[in-house]
Amino acid sequence: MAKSGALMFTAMNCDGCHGGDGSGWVGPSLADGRWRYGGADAEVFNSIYYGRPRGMPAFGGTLGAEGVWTLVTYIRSLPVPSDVPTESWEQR
Amino acid sequence: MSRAALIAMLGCLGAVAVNADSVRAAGAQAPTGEDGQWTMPSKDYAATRYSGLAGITPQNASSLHPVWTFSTGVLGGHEGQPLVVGDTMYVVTPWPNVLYAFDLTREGYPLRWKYRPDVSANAIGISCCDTVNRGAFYADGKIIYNLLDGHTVAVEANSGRELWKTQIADVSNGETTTMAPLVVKDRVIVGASGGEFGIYGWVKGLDLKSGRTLWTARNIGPDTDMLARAGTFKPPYESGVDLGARSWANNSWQTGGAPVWGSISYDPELDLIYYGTGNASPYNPEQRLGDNKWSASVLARKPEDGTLVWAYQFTPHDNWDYDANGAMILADLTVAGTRTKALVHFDKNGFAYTLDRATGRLLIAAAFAPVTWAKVVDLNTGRPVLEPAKQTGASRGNVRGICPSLEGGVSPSSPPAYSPNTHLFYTSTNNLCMDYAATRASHLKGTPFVGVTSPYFAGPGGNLGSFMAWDAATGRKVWENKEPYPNWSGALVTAGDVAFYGTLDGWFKSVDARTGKVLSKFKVGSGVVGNPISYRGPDGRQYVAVYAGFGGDWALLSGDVRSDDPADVRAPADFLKDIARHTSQGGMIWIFGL
Ligand code: HEC
Repeated sequence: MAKSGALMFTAMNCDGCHGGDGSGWVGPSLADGRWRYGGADAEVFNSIYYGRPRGMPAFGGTLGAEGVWTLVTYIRSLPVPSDVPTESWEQR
Repeated sequence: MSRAALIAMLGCLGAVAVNADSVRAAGAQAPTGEDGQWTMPSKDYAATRYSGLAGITPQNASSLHPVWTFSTGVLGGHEGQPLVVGDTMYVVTPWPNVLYAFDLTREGYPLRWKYRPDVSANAIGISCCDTVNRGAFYADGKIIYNLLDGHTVAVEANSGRELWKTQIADVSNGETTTMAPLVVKDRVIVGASGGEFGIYGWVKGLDLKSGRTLWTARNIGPDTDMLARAGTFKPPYESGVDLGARSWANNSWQTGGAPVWGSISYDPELDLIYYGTGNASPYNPEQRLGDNKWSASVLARKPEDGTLVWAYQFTPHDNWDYDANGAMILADLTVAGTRTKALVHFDKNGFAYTLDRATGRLLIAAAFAPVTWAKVVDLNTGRPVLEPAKQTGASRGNVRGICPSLEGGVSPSSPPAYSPNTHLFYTSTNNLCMDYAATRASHLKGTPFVGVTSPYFAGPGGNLGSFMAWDAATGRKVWENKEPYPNWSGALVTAGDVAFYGTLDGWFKSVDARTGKVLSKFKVGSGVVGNPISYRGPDGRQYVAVYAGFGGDWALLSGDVRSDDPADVRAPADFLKDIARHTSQGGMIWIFGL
């Protein structure tokens, strides 16, 4: 399921806005463990099915609930790096 | 960027008291013809970004200092430039495209009014390269500009009242509107972005009084759609009908891109407008075999009814996202001993072109940045002589070492300037190269139609950008100031022989226009991707204004510069590791004076 989700992520041009592997481009990163609209399965589902106001198209009509769940499974399978809030330029 | 499928879509200072001596010094030397205003995006129809004010000189520029700042309250990339009309400064912000009118006659420049249009947030997602706006145009008592979501508005310059609002583009189709309109007589000429969404690129002519759309001309496609009429359309190097359709295999022109997101210039004598078209869509060239005319080209049209008069293609069958949206600067130059009505253009593809603007014939093409995709441009055919190993496509896999990168030798977002005093052109440059792995793209309405992964790396020399002076009559670089980062600001040059530019890490500099020597620099708080302007204030003194506000492509490419979204924290770009050490987002107007 995660694998067919990965194919669908590319085929539906999700990668065009979210970057390869969902790492973030015009649309926010889907692979950083941080969420604008929540990272629970149902919340990610709603983001994809209904869209979000700042430029996330609704895909429910094209993909149906089943297709959207396939994408949710893929997104939830992406490896989330440990959250490192600090970026430092000092020599250590 | 290499980490992603590169969708290359890619303290306030108090006002300073007026000093009577410098009033005289700054105001007196302006040549006749210079009214001290800045009413068009590029200063004049010829797009020179040259101010005839001569108060600021190489001798006194070291005392330039900020006299006023204002936060626009918006954090998107502040491309474009303010206008100064009479005693008022007009500023358009990135989405949500607020228009501010500042009263320059009062201390602290308070607002006369502000206009806050209702602009759809949906446009944010389909803005390939940040939510930028490239400026407004003043004509007939109106401030005219584009809203990101596909509308053009006319606002009464005195009152801020909305006079008309016209939908020109369709966001659901991947069209956004970032370019600065051009007004010629009673026509408003506009175009749309969307080269990353497979749009069917166009320009439109609106009626200045009512905003009604009077004509639409496609940039690609059949002659009827392109308003290419028999006997009127004379491209210098081609002949035949429907070139804009027949040069695209399998009707691929229908989703072929060729957006219009730069500026437009105009020659009143020839009565021609000139503008560049963007990349052919998608980025995988194997999905659109042929020359793909007239993407990556310059087109000359009649403003009245849009009739196409000539076109010249800089990058036939664009393999590298080399948009030609950069400024078309009109200057009368002596080329090889002949006085020529020239058009000068610095292309993303790394060549600077000097054309005859009456006919579109090529006079000079010389590389101003490292170029590996072509050897030279053949002056007899007008075509580049390609480097076979640097052609791209899904079947060719990862093609390495292409220069310039698809950010361009210079970005079309960074318009050059031309001084009739020094006879030199001034431009920012990027020194970036790339690898380019094209993949098959599928066209789904309103989603990206791209198909490439293209990591960048520094070009020869290690510096990522520069600001240079160029002699377009001979095709030679005169001087160059290397900059550590890609340089993304526009250029300004003045009759005092001082040139101005900003840097991506947030320095605003004045330099000697003849030598490039830095005369002053000031850290303006955020990276500069906007274009400096100069004007005479109500006190008679010369001022220079510029936006600070990191963004444009860099909002995507250097994701770690952003700090406004706790839900989206990205690693630095590997070719640009420490830019976030020097700058963060912003949205400030800065005014400098002596
Ligand atoms: C046209 C560009 C575009 C396309 C195509 C696109 N997205 Fe989005 N997406 C966005 C933007 C922009 C946002 C942020 C919306 C907001 O903040 O309101 C977003 C938000 C999201 C979110 C919510 C993220 C969060 O932090 O809460 C998810 C999940 C998502 N997209 C998944 C997808 C999937 C899956 C696809 C493909 C089916 C897709 N997107 C296609 C632009 C796009």
